[in-house]
Amino acid sequence: MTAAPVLKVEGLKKYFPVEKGFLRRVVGQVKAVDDVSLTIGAGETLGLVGESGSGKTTIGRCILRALDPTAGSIQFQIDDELTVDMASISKRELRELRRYANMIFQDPYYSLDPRWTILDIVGEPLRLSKLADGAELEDRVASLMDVVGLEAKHLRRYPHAFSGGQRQRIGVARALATNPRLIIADEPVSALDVSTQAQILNLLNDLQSEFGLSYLFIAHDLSVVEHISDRVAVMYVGKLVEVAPKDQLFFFPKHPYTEALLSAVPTPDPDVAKKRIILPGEIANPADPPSGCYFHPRCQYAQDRCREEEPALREIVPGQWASCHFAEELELVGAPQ
Amino acid sequence: MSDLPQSDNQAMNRAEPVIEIDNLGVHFALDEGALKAVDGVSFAIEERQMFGLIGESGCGKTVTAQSLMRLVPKPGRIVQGQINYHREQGGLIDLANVDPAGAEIRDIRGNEIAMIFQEPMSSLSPIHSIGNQLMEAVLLHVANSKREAYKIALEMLDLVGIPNPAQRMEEYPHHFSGGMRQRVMIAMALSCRPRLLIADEPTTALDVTVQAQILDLIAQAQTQFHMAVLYITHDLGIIAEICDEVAVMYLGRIVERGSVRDIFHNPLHPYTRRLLAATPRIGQHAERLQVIDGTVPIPIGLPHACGFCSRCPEMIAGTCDTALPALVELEENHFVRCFLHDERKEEAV
Repeated sequence: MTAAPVLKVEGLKKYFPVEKGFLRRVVGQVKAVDDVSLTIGAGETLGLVGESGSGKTTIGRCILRALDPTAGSIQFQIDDELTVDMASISKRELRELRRYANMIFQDPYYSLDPRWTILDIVGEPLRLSKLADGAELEDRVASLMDVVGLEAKHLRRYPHAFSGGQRQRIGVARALATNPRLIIADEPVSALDVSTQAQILNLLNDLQSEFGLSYLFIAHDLSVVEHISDRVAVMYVGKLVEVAPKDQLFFFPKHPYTEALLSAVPTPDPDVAKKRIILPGEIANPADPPSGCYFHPRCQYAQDRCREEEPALREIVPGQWASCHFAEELELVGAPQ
Repeated sequence: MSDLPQSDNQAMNRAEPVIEIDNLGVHFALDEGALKAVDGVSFAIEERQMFGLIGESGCGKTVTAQSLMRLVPKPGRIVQGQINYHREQGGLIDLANVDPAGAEIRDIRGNEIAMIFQEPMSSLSPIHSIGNQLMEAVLLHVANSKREAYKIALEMLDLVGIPNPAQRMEEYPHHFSGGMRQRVMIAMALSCRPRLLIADEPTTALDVTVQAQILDLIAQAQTQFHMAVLYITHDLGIIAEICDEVAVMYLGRIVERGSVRDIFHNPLHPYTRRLLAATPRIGQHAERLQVIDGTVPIPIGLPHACGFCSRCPEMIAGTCDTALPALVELEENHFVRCFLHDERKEEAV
């Protein structure tokens, strides 16, 4: 990715206040996203993995300004001339720029309004961005249906008439409607069965090559992320702990948390003998994180330094960044090849 | 399925079966007609065996499990077949023919056969403390006094790896994380030392590192208590890692059954093969995943034919869509229901 990235996030923070009592005094901060920097190139897929509560979805929502970030910049390249900082633009500007970045949601059952027809649902972003109206809108929606593999004659049906996989296709069509550059896919296949999941993953791949889309692909299923991503970022308690091209990350991880995640993924082959690393305890509380490295209470390699000093995210080998004091010394085990 | 029981007996010479399901059928009477959720399912689980039941949503795997506990929700009804359960103190009981609210099943359910579910929050009462809920189960089946029940509950929480069990006994489900709640459910299930544990997607709602903890716990408990486990999931990876025997379900029927090695290395049914090919694997480097075209039909008023024929690329027109193939033992302990491999039919009842 030598060209300027489509998305460049720097120092992104999102803190939620913890309030207490009648006067709603702020007694603390939940650091849902804490100083995250990442880039996504044109036509690139960045996978974002991490456990529930690690802040993956909050990052996605901040990028689209569904949430106002606490700090940081989100440089979004609209076209060759124009790059805007999504973190600081006004609501009015935002309305005009929304069409360039869209979201696909996890649950195809709850993310579509049951009282709207497919034409309404897929056409809404076009109407809001004043890109099409009337017959033109209907034509455009019909061609979108075709793009995602649904029949255009079902335009006036309601979501309940479609299966889970078809509904997710409707969600994809809606996200594509305004010709965006960037799509944030938040767990787009985790509610689907294996065979349907494969259909949607293939569709997302095809659309990317056809329209040069950039994806931020948020998921907790590492096999799915490995399949679709070019690069992968791993989050733990609001921070990125590792970012690398996918083969580097999956086969030569540099952070002990990545290693533990990889070892926990069940392999669909009974003959692969694998040592599962069972992490002790639970994911840290982002309102009261441990000292030093957030991962140290669960890390089998932790030493005194990890308890005291917070590691920075640094480039260990070209293109591979990890935040571990001992990233160079540790010989971590990747996924079975 | 007349050729089944005989071949099953051969396989079972190795160990005693705990439960034998024979030609089980569960129908839901809907306005549109009878929905055949489970349609002629047969398998047996041996002592200390980890038996995997795999399939996609709506294939009938959960209803099969519910039938074993006699917990099929209305308007579902067991319409055919037997569920022969070998009791702990000897003797055989057909669970398909007992009163679902009667004394016999209540003595077995939660005691000799226990179950853990996908979403532990909905199986726990939000207004009773964890300790009370655990003790209730123990008092019902094993303990004679509250003091004894408390002791057992405490031991069980400790066994499933919950720190500070005495303090956690006083707390309520909302104080627990998803993984911890599932541990409580496992503690509850194990507290009566069941012979058969039914685990219905117990890790689907959990993160992968927590899933690893729970799988480890179930495997440990199985060794420690010599339980048989019926593990229901849609995740092929989990099946490959923990199960001995696997049955693949599609549209209410078992389409393939065998050892975990046979299913993963020598899959014979087109559905099994495609399910394996559609699963992304780390390091596979495939540009595209193989997909299964179309969707699962709704099992109401379907013809007596192979359920997969509408989506099967290898379908033989005039054969697969007109008759139902029988589940045939092609190799030792490897059963397949497909005309590509054997032309024997299963007659309509």
